[in-house]
Amino acid sequence: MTLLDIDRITMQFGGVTAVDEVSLRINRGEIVSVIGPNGAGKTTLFNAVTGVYSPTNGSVSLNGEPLAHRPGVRDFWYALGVALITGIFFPFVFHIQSAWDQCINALYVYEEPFDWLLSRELLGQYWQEQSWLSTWGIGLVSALLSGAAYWVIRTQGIIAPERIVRCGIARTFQNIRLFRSMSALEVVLSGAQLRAGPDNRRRIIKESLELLSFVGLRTVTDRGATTLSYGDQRRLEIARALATKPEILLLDEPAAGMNEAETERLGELIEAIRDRGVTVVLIEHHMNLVMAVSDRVVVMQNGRLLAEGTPAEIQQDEAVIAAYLGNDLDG
Amino acid sequence: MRGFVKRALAYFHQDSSKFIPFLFLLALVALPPLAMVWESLSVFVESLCPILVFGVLVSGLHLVTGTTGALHLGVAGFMALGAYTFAILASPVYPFQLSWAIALCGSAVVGALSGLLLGIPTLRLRGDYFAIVSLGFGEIVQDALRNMEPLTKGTIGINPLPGPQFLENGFGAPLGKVGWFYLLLAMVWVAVGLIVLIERSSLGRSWAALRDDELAARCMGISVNRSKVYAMVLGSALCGVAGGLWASYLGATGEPGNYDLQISVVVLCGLILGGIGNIWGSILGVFIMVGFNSLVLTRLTTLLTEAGIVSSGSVITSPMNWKYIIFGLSLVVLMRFRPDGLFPASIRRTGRLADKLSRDEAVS
Repeated sequence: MTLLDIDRITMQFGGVTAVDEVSLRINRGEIVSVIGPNGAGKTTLFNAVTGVYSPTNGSVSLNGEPLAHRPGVRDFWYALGVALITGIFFPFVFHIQSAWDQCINALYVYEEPFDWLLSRELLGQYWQEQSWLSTWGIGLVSALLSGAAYWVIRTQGIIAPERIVRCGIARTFQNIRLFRSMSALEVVLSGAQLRAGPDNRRRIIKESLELLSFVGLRTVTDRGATTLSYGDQRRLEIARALATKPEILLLDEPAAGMNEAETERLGELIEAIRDRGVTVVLIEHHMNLVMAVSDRVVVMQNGRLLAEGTPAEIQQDEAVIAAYLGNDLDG
Repeated sequence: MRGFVKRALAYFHQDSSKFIPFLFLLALVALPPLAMVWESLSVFVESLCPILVFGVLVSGLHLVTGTTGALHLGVAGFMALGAYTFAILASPVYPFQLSWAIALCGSAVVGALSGLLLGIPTLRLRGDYFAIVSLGFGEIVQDALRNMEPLTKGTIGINPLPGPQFLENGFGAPLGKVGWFYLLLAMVWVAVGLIVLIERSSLGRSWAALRDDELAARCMGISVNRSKVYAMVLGSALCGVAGGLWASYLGATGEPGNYDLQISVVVLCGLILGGIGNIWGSILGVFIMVGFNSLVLTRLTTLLTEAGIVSSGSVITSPMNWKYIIFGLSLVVLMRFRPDGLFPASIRRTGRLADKLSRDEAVS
């Protein structure tokens, strides 16, 4: 059953095509590794899927639903609201000075009672004296312009990371991006608060503590996130991503900078994540880890898919061997 | 009550950068009674009042710059809007003549609305661009107020303005020096309390996250624009209140040019001096920054002139004119030795509930 469907996604920066029509289907409950030489477009693919970049072409869908924002009734009401507010606000700003001059400065004498009724009458008079264009005209034009501008901006099919993580795709980063002013628990909470209602403080704290023990950081809950060791920071990033309750977790080189023992434990952690019901996609250069945990391996080169298959198949694939070791096997 | 004390102790536990400014703010409560005993202190009661207004202003700035990290150079603009709103609503030269408290609420509302209108389009800008826009806003507000003559009386400013009436009714006398001092101090405490409460909430956590790393915050589902606009609205409301208090304290709005960049910059310097991101430190930072200028240097000048060491006409020897040298020097020294300010913000911790829950978990 397909969970994530990446359909002919293309990512161009100026003249450079970083990802070229890559299609990929990921099934629920799988661990898929994406490997390939540096600059093959693996991280760009992740960025395009999670909305950090908006792809030049192609679409991504989760559970059969496309992730790009589609214009809906709600956008229409918002645009109408924006139009109304500007329509009322603009003529008001335009006329406030002279209207004020005629109604309040003309009528009010210091420390004497003010005739509100008369001032209202004067205001009505003032309004009628103005030309149609400078009152309703300005209101109408500004309302139309602002409403149209809002509609155009909103309905461009925006892909934003905060929307996509809400749909159920979470990720970690290649270079660790933790929040340096927070304790480890707070970092996890910052992910967990996405799925919390207004007063579920107790619940999300419990969940976050549970997640911290899951990744093995239970003893350092109160330490500053960036004071942790490198491996622990990677695990903390995983915990933070898991706290958003994703259906699919994208790990971008989680084992970078880890030693053998740590990498092995990370492999166990990834399998444990899969056992929790979260599908895992992994970018990795540690081949031992990739071959040990993956159900499927995808090889990328120069922005294209080179090969796809089980770890055993990939190890035998000549195109992959050529990409990694060079073409000239005899030399 | 015991629960509150326990919670407060946990909040300040082993955190001197919160506790020292807290003690200072607490000690200010005792200043007027002490001034009755020692006459020489009574000068401070009066001259601290404007600084207390700056305390409210810096708490508004803290909500934008301290929490979300967007450099805001236009707080004086919001202060001016608050001051003029208060003046138009409360002054006897206009027909509205609302009561003091309601007019102050009006300042807050106008501040919040203008913060919303400015914030929605501009908070998407990155880094320095927002600083430029907010700087421009501060300048535009001055010019607009100066030129909207029917409304704002142009360069004359609006006067007279009433003080708070709620004490007059009881005692039959307008608010004295001590009354103003306590009123403004209470306002600072309310502003700080409000900020501490908001920062503990998930909104505060979102702010901290997007200040540290905007991309990572977005990828955790935090809507950056929305959180920043919330911060801007709340901060501008506080700046508006500060403006209203300022106008009410002086009894006049003064010329629009009084709300110039210098105010924004002094408050920003105080915020950075005290420790960016730490509201307690920022308040004390503003006290040091403005207090040094208006208390220490003025007193020093008077003393030296009285002693005959300096002549009041001399430009170079008068300590009042040393201030920029001293500011510059102290900023350089500060950046070298305490780059995070005098009271650097400590790491965000979850507090007692987390300790309790994790203990429960360990037991079960």
